[in-house]
Amino acid sequence: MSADNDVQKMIREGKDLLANKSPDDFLKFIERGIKKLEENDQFIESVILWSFVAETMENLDDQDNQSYAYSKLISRYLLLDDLQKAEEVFKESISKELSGFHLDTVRTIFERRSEKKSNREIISIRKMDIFGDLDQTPASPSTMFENVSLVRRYVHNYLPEGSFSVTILNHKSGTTEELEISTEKLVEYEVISIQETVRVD
Amino acid sequence: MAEQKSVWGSIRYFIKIEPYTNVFGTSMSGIVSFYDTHGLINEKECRNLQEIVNTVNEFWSTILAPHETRVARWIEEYLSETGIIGDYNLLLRLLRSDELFSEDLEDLITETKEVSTENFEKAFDTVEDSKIIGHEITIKKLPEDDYFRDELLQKLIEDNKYQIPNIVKSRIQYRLASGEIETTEKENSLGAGETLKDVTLISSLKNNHKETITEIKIIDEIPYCFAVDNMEIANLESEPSKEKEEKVLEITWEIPEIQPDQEVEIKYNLSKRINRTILEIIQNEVIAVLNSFENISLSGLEFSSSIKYLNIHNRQLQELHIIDEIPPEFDVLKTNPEALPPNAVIEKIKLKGTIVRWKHKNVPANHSLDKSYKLDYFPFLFRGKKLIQDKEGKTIFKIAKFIKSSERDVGYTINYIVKNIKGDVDEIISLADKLPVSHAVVGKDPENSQIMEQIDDSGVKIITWITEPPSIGKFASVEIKVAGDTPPTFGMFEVFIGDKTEKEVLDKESSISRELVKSL
Repeated sequence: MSADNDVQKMIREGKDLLANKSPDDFLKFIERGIKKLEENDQFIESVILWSFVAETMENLDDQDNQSYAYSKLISRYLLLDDLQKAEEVFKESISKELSGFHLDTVRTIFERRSEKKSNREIISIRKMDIFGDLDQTPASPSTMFENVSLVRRYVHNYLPEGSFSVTILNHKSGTTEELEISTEKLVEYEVISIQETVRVD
Repeated sequence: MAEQKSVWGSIRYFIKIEPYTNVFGTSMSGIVSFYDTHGLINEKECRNLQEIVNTVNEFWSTILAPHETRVARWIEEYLSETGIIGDYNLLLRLLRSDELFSEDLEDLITETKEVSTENFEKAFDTVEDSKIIGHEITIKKLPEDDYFRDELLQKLIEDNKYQIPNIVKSRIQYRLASGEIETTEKENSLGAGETLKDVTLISSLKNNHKETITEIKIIDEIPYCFAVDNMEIANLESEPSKEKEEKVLEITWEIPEIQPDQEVEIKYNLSKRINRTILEIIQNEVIAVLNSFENISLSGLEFSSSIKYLNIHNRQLQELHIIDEIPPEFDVLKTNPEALPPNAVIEKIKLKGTIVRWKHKNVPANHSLDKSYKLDYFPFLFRGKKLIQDKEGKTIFKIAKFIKSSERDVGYTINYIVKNIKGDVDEIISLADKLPVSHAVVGKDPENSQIMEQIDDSGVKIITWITEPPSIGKFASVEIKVAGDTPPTFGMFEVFIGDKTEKEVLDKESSISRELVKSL
C-alpha cells in the first residue's frame, strides 16, 4: 500500500472515530499512525495528517488540541527545512490567538531559526517589600522576549536580589500579563505564618 | 545540581531535568527545561514521571525524528548522572503508552472491606488515644509483570493512605427552655502552635439565643494523625469523655448551661504523628492495608519515635511494605535499622516532606520488625505580621517579626521590622515579646537599639524594643540574637504607640506550610 493510501485510510478511519468516540481517542489514533510514518521519515505525510487534525480541532472548537496540532505543523515544516511554510503556519497560529506549552516552545525555536523579532516587552517592574507592598523600579523598555520563560530568565540574570512583580505587554495580542518572580536564592523552609490586624488607640 | 545535557544527534539543543525527589518512580515530579545555544527556550513543571518523559519526548521529536528507545536511554543516562537510578524499561513503557493502566489496575481489585484491628493494636503497642484502621483487599491475582505489580501495590498504598485533614469537625447539641433539642455542626481550622510541632485547635460555642441553653454537648472529632497534648475549657471545670471511632477520636464535653451571649471556648494543643501505612501480602489474592499513627516525643533538642511491627498472621508474609510519612516539620537525622536501598529508602520530596519506605520479603509468622527514628526540626521560619489600625480603621503601621532556625547550640535570631504607612505619628513605638525564661538576649544590631529584658510578676520573660517611628514609607528594624538551650517559641508581640495599647484583634489567621524562602 502506498503512503498516500495510508494517509487517506487514516483520515477515513479518523473521521469514523470522531463520529463514534471522543476527540482524544481520535487524536490518539492519528498520533499512533503519524509516529509510525515519522519513524520512516515520512514527514510530508505527517504534515498532511497534522493539517487534518488542526482543521478538525478548529471545527470542534478544541483550542488546546488545535494549538498542539499547530505546534506539530510548524515543527514538521522546520524538520522539512521549509521555512516559508513554517512561517505561514506560525503567523496563522498567532492570528488565531492559539497558545500552549508546545506551541510556545516551537514558536520560539522557529523565531530563533528565522531570526524573527520577538513580541513580549517588559513595561513595568515593581519590587515587593517584606510586607508584600510594591514599589516601582525602572523597567527596561525595548528589550523583547520570545516567551515568558525568557522574561523570567532575564529578571533572574539582570535584576538585583528581591521579589518583583513584572508586567509584560504582548505586542502581537495587545494583552498584558503579570508575573511574580523572585531573584533571591530560595531555600525550603517550614513556614509558620501568623497575620493579625489590631486596633490601637 | 541538574545540568543541561545535549540531545543526542543535535549540537544545538539541550534538555535539563530537575527532579523534585531523589527516588525514581512513576510519581516522580520535577521541571523539564529546553535550551538552544542562545539559552532557555521553554520550561515546564511536570506532575509525574509520565509527564516528564512525554515532555522530553515532545521536545526531542520537535527537533529530530521521533526515537523512543533513544529518548528512554537518554533519560536513564541523565538521571544516572544526577545520582538517580532509573529504569530503562519503565521509561520506554511510559513513552509507548499514554495511560498508566489505571483502569486495568482497578479491574484487578475485586473487594475491599474494613477489618477489625484490635489484635494489631495489641501487637503493635498502639497508644491509648490512637487506633489502627484496617482494610482487607481481595484481588484477582498479583500481576506477574513487575511493573504492573509495583503499580498495583503503589495504587493500593495511595488509595488507602490516611488523608490528613486541615479542618476538624465539631458536633454540638443543646436543649432550649422549651425542651426542644437543637443540633448543629461546625468545622474548626487548625492553627500554628507555640513551637513547630504544636498545632492549636479552638472549638467554641456562643449562645446566640435570648434564653439560657442547657445540657450542652460539644463533640470534637480529632483525627488520629494528631496526639492531644493538652485540652482545656475556659472558666469551667469539666473533664471530657473520649471514644475511639473508626477514623477519629471523639472528645465529648458536657456543659450544664450557657447564658445568652456567653461563649464557651475549648482549646486543644495537638501534635502531629507519623502516619504509617502497612501493606501485607498475605496470599497472592489477599492483601491487608493498615494505617497506624505514631507519637513523636521530645528528647533534649531532638525528637524520636519508636514504632513496633509484628507479623500476627499465622503464616509467612510474601511481602511487607511499610511507608512512614514524617510530618513536614521534621527532618530525619537517623533511622534504626539504617534505611539503605534497595530495601529501604528515604524519599525527600521538594516542598512536601519526607517519606521513609521499607520493603521486606518473606516475613515469618511472629517476626517483629521494629523501626525507630531520630528527628530534628526541618529548617523553619516564623513569620508574624501585624497590621496596626487606628480607631478610624486606617492602617498606620505594618510590623513584622521573623525567627529563623539556626545551628543547634548557637541560639537563634529574631528580627523586628516596623513600616510607617500613615506618616503623621510621632509617638514612640514599643514592641513587647515573650521569650522562654531560660533564653537570653546576647546581641543586637544596630548596637544602639533600645532593648529591655525583664521578668514579669508571673515569671515570664519579656523583651521590649523601643524605637522612634520611621518616616512615611520607611522602615525601622532590629536584629536580636538569643541564646537558649531549647527551641524558640512562636508567638506574636504586643504593640504600644505612645500610651496607646492594643484594644481589639480585628482579624487573625495562621498557617503552617512548606515554602521557598530567601536563604540566610
